Amino acid sequence: MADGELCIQNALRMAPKDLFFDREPEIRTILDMCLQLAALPAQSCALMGPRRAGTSEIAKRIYKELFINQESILPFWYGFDRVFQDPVHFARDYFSQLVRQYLAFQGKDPTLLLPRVIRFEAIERMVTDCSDARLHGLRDDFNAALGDADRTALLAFTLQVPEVLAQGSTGAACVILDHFHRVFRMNWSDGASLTELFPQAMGSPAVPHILTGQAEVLQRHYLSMETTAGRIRRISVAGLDSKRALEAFLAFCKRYDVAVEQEAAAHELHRFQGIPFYMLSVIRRARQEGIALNRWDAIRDTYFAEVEKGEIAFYYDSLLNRCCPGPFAKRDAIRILSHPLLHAGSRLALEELAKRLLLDLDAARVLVDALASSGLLAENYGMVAPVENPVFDDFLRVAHRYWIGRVGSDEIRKDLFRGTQDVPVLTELKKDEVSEPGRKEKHRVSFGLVLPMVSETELVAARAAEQVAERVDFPEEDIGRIRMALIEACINCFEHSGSEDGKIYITFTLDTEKLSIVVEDKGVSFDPKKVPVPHRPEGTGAPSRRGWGLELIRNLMDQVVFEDVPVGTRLRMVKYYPKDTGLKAQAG
Amino acid sequence: MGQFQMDVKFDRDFVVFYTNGYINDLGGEKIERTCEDILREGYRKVIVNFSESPIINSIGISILIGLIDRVKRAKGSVCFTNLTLNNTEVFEFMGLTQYAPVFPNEEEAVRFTMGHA
Repeated sequence: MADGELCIQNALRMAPKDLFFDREPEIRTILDMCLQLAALPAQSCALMGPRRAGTSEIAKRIYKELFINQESILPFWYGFDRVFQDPVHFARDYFSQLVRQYLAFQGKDPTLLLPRVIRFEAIERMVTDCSDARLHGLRDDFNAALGDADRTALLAFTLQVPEVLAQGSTGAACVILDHFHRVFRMNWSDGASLTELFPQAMGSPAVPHILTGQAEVLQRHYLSMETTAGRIRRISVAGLDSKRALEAFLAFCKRYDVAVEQEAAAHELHRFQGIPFYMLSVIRRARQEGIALNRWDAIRDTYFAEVEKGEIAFYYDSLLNRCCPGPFAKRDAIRILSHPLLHAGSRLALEELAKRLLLDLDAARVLVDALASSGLLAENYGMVAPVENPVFDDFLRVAHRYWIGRVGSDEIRKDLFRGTQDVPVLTELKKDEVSEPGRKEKHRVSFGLVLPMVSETELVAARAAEQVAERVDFPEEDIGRIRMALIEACINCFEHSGSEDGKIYITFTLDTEKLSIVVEDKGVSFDPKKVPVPHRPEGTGAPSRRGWGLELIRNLMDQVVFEDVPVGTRLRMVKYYPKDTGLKAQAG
Repeated sequence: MGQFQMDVKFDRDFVVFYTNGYINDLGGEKIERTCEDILREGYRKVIVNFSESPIINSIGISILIGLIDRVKRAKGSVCFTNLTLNNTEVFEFMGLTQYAPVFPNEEEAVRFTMGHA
């Protein structure tokens, strides 16, 4: 059967065994559902997961299992690899694939599944050569439908073929429709659309359909239709959990002969969201460039190189290209997707988003619709929200700086990656992102940073403050004020805390109206009342030389409070977002 | 931001300091030491160009206050150019601009300095 397995693998273009990591629990759940068909009607289902989560590979393995290890259910697999603009072409292709798979399954001959592309006439000959009278009848009926001008009838007949074949043999069938979201790109003028006709075919309890495709698109355009809502079960397929993800990463490194340290891999694993595609992109680059992944910063840097100009960047760039009709639209798409308020967790009305970005409302609507259809953005009730995809966020961060900020590639690397080698500002900030208890997720976002009290460490804090402040609509001069105030607060800690642990604890919190920065040390308490107010020159004499730090902080920020803490000093500084952002009104 | 560095351009009647990098206590002291050397050589007019120093902390500024004081006592003049908007704001807040005028570019600073002959 090994040759048979190979035929199925080639026919379905399955990922090699050693590059597909254990998805046994998911596969088993779906198979159990299918195998109960004889006793219990099964419900059609959609495998929903983040981009590149591997739902197609899971579906292909379900097909293989059904083909090889059981006889009571006819397995069918159809991949929407091609977008047909003519219903006749689609009908012939669909019919051909199904009939061929039927013959292969009934004859236990997987070699019939190859070659992948086959002419309709060849299928007709295969049917003629077989002795199955029912199949002859089905072919004749199909040819009759082809000769009829009614394209809707032809399509309806074609989609019922699995049920007809099941009725004449095992009594049950399972149809796997891969990349089903591409159905929405098949628009023809003569005959009903596939989205109108498929729900009827999926209604048969003896022939459940399993769909894969872009989750957001399926959800938005198919599963919420009147004819499908509540009738198709959604099965969530997440990335690999951390244990399996680590095993996968180590196994992939071994497969590509790339040196790796388990501890380093575990440290950086959160970046990949359990998605093998991201892991493999990084590992392939490491192999290509001779990089050993035995340090966490080597993994991080290779990941960022991938996000900047590797396969990951190419993948997301291609998606953007497909959504955007031209270069200006692509730039606008990046501006929309990178809008700081969306990243701070706000949902924005489409009109407000267009206004903020000075975009024509109709153009913004078309763009948002395209981005939402590709699953790069969520849009509902006229409100726009980001989708949870940290890798895409990293890609956007780079794309936005490069295309909109017009920052050179070297500069981006210097700013975002190389600068974090000694003290991983960006990494640590992101990892420590937390939601405020009791608040809706992301309406209040906090970042923690712990810095040693060493020379110029305040610059690291300042860089972090810039990164946080850039997430909202602070103008450049406010970012400068925040940066300076934080530098002064850090210097205050160095000079006055006498802290034994030698650390500064900084927390940045963004909510709907302000940025709060808390700077804390575990040293001796600092009494601001005892600090003499420095004098400015009035007629004669130069200004005081020292004691300006606190005075400056008070001048640069909107609120400055020293809070009581049992040990050390805690300074809270607040900067409100500019009034014209409208955030204060939202918060109220 | 790398190690603080400074270049000095000598003209017949004045000098221009080109600071490069973060001006904290170390950077400020380097400016101060250089200024002392310049005064010893007989120069009395100093222009400080901050175009490559976007970040100046309060300790750095306090050293600049000392520098202004020293040059003034030597009957000289100091002026600043190419400060960022934020740093200009801070210099004004601390009252430095009453003693050392701030100019958007070096040409205007030179014109001012030469007018003070």
